[in-house]
Amino acid sequence: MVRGRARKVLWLAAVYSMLAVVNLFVLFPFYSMLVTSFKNQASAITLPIQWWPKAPTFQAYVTMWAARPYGRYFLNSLIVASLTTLVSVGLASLAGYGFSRYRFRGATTLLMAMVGTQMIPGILLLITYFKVVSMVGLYNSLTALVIAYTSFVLPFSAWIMKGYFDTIPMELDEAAMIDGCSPLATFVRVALPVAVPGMTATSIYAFLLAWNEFMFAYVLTDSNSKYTISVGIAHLFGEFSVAWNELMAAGMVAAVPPIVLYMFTSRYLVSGLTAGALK
Amino acid sequence: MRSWRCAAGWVLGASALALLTICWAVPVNAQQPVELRFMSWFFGEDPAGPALKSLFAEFEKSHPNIKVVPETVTNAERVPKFTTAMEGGRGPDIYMDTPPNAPNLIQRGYCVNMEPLIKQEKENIKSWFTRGDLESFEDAKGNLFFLPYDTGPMGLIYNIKAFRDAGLNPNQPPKTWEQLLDYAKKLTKGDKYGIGLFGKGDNSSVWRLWYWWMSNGASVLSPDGKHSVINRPAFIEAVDFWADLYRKYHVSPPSTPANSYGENNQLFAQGVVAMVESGVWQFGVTEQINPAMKGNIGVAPMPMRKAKVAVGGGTDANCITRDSKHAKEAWELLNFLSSEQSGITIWNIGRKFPANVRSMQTPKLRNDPLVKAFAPMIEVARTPFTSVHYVEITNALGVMQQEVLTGTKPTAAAVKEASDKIDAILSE
Repeated sequence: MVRGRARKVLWLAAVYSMLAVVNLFVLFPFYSMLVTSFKNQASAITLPIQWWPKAPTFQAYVTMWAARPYGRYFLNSLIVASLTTLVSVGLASLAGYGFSRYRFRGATTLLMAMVGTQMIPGILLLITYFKVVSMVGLYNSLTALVIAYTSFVLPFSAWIMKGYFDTIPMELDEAAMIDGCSPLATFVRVALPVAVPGMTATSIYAFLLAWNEFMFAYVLTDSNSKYTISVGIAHLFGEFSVAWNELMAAGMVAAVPPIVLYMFTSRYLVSGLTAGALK
Repeated sequence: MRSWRCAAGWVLGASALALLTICWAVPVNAQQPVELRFMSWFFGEDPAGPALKSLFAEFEKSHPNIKVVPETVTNAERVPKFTTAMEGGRGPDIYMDTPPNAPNLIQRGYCVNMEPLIKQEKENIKSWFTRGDLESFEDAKGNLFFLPYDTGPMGLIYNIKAFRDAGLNPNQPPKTWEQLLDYAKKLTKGDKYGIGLFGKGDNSSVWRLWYWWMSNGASVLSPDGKHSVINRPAFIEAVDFWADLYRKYHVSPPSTPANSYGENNQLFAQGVVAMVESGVWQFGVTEQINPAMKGNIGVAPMPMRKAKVAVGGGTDANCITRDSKHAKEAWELLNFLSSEQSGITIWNIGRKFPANVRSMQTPKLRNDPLVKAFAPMIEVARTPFTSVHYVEITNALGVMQQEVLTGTKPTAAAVKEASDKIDAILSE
């Protein structure tokens, strides 16, 4: 009995030690970023590295906001990420519900083809997107980014939503229909409220992708008024020098919305992503 | 009556529309200036951006019918943005780049041949520039596609105080490889090192290694650019000498195989290394990291071996793209930007040397101590090779550099392997 308990304690100690190491590995870059953002430009690149700034300062945050229109970049990112999330979650829910509830010829092939588009490296589509966006007069607009990101996010989101709807018993839909609901009303009033965890997982995925994406935002926009935060930060890399403290301060600010979003929605994430994985 | 009114209404409406069209179209066409879209990473850089913008303002004053619209790209990602814009049929009128990228962009047909434009000019515009700067932007037939704007050869940048502390005369920097080794040994003490070699194997590191083999009379490619010629004694000897500074004599820091531009900036600014191979930009960067270094930095040509050469470290040049619908106006602008007069602004505001050598001889510039120091290097600065396979060849040389420094392979074996790789790349 005692031996068994000791073995359990040892096992737990080993597990927690492993987790501590993994956490350290994951959080250390974040710590380094945070500390560097509180240094001045000289001490940010001083050797040996200062693991804690000798004279902590908010100067980098002040300079960063003054030097470039980060408020605008931030707002642009927020608009693009929020709209991408709204549109893609809306469309993915409809698609996922359709794939889950209706049997039609070629459904599996269609679903596989949709997910198959995720295998194509996004960069290969850059020039095509650029041409289309320029042709329809959407170059240097946030709308172009929302459309592009929605097209990236939608296939996988539809897949997640299909998986989630599969876990919701058909009997719920049937009961609603017996009570007189149309298929659309059944979807809106019955299926959607139950699918909130799935939608949350999809939202996080869509939001993070749109928030972090750089190359398309960089190529499809062309002015400070349309740059997103990732493009704004990239401009801090100079030819001959890099203001590391400002770069890290901007990175810290850019990390806040995804962190906040994740904090409020993390409990839905796992259930949303794994729903339908096991039958 | 009703039909008459209707007809009168139609006529009135059509007349008003025609009048509106005339009023709107004619003056707009007459007044609207030609817009030149100029794509460069300079607009996000200080002081290079303000210098270029100040030249635009000057140009627009004398050319009220032309407006220059700056389009900012990031330094690191400028090529993807430019190539996407070109492939998408929405390229800028003018694009700025450097020697490593130029051959590829020329081969893809993104830039227009400047020869017909040059021939139209009364003056021989090519005589404004050094041969080294011109050949970086020519195709195999010698046609010029980019007009050089600024230039930046690399020399030996050194810490004056460290020289004095080691009993060396800062006014007599090393002139030969042997002297360099001797100086480096004297400057190495405890955690201070004589020289900061660039050994990371990236573009910046390989670029600096160029000097050593060029100075020893070696080349990378055969004159026709079809074969590697690095597997020869002069090349191997140069790489060996360079690597021995770290491997055998330990006059470069232990972190040398991981050091490149960013690392050596810090090490030099903080006095950890006393000498680095760099350009005029090193002054600004060093003083930014450590203001106490102001006035404490010396510069000299790199110590010589067999050939008197310098590596062109930062020539920036502009091309007119095939998408431009205003090639004539774009040429006028480029002509102005590379002129003798603009060169003064390029140095005074931008702190870069103008590519136009005549600017360097103007009274305003020729007495400047830094211009004086770098002028002999500008004359002999070269880009060691230009190739559409520049990136792949540099990668092969970078691997060789790392293998030699870390002792993974003997120098001769590493060079042979790199040579074989380059031949394979060129035969593709």
